[in-house]
Amino acid sequence: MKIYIRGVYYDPVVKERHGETYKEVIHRVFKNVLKDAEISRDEVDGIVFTPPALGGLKQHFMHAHHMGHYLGQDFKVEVMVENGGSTAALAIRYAMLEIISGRCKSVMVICLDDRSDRIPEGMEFPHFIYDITIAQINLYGPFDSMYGIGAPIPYYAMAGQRYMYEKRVSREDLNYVAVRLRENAQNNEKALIRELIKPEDVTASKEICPPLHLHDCSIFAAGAAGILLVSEDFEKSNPSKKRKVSVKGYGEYHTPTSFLPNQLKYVPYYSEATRKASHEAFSQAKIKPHDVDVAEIYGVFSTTELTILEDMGFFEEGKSVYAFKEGNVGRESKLYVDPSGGRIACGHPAGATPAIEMCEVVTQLRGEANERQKKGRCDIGVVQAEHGMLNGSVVFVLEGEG
Amino acid sequence: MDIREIISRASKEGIRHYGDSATLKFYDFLKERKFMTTKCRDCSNIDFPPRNFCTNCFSENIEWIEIPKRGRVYAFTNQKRALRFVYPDIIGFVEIEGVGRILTKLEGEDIKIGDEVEWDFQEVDGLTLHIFRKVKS
Repeated sequence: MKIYIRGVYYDPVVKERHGETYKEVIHRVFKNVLKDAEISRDEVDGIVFTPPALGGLKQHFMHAHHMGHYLGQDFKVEVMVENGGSTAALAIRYAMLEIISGRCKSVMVICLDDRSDRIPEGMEFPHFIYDITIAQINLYGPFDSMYGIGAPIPYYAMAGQRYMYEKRVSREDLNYVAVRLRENAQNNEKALIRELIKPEDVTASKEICPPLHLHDCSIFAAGAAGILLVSEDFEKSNPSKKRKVSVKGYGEYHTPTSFLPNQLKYVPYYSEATRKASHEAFSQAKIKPHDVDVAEIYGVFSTTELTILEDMGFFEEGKSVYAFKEGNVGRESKLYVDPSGGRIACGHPAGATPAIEMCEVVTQLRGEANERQKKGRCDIGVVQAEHGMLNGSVVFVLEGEG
Repeated sequence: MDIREIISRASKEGIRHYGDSATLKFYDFLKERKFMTTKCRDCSNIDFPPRNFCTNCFSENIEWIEIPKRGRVYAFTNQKRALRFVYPDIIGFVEIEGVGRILTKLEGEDIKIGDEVEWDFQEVDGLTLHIFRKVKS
């Protein structure tokens, strides 16, 4: 059974949202996806949400229920999905399964994330410290969090350090990841960071967690995206005027690790989950990595951008950095990596990121990306998402038809 | 109430809520200045972090063993905004043969990947934590 991605929309990624509440954002995203899909609200059978923010101290108990009430619409499916950075990808998978089961012909997925690192208005600082300490123990576990882990960056920094050490990737060459992603972001008016930089600007930026500098990192951001998936029957009876984009392959895998693996059998800087999810998705789609024209991946730090591309089989181990150094990841390249600017330049509202990636790949496959449109063939795209530090990974293969 | 006391209380509550009885026992052992984890009596698998069952064979026939004194630095970094330790707050993963990789605080001059380190203890926010010091060659 084919599933089509009929409608896509994503908001410009911003450092912080002002003037709209999350409910207003969801209403607006809902309308914009309907507009892109050229269908009416009554044709949407089901709705799947991510939490309005990943983490943070505000409760979003019964979020899907409250949003159904707010939108004032009947649905056959109304649910919220969460598993860290993979959240939006798994929400999309949930929508796919509702269509595969035959219960729904069209399901909307609405994903957003607001900055959750602020002290809530009116909360006393000691209360905030108590709650944030507990929240960090939840996320990083009762062993690692005692060492002051307040964000995932130390894990990525250490995995990246070991990757560079073992694969002999130089700091100077690593600088090109941020340089190229910002070049890609140049033509994306929705990207958060579009200023061009020189390689030396990366190491001149503030050192956050060695070996990672500020320009190697995605930064806290707010964003929102929506996707409408429809069944083959729906698409046949109500065909889209745009190029049809279908889901050709899906893969998902999780290892029993959390952030940097304790178990010696895992190589911490590579991801068995990403390798297995990619293999499953590519096998189902009957493609090889060299068949892929455009990829949006969940590279939240420069080192991870490289290791994910290697895990997915696009480059040999330790070699992906040369594609960035030589400029072979842009719109004229055989494989266009992160046309949106990726997490480092487009921005990273984690709860929405995989949906933003999918919107961008669909836009490319439809040929609607204007100045950032891939040159030459653009028929096969992939979307990759992960949670923890690549402890689990999700991969979609999308195909532009006709 | 002072911030360190708040962190101490929140840490104890967090360990209790997000851990299990093996987690509490691990921290009790540290208080006695013992660095311990669990080993399966049936298949000899060693788990870190410790558990009341074996993740390899699911047996509940486990025993507590002392973690070998020495290991090697797998990777390290430092945190400039961490709450618990004063900068330079160097943390790293230490690889211990037969046990696993353990996140810890590192102490010593000019730490490098592959350096030999050995465990010790430090009192922080009302808890006893393991740290690793570089072994002088």
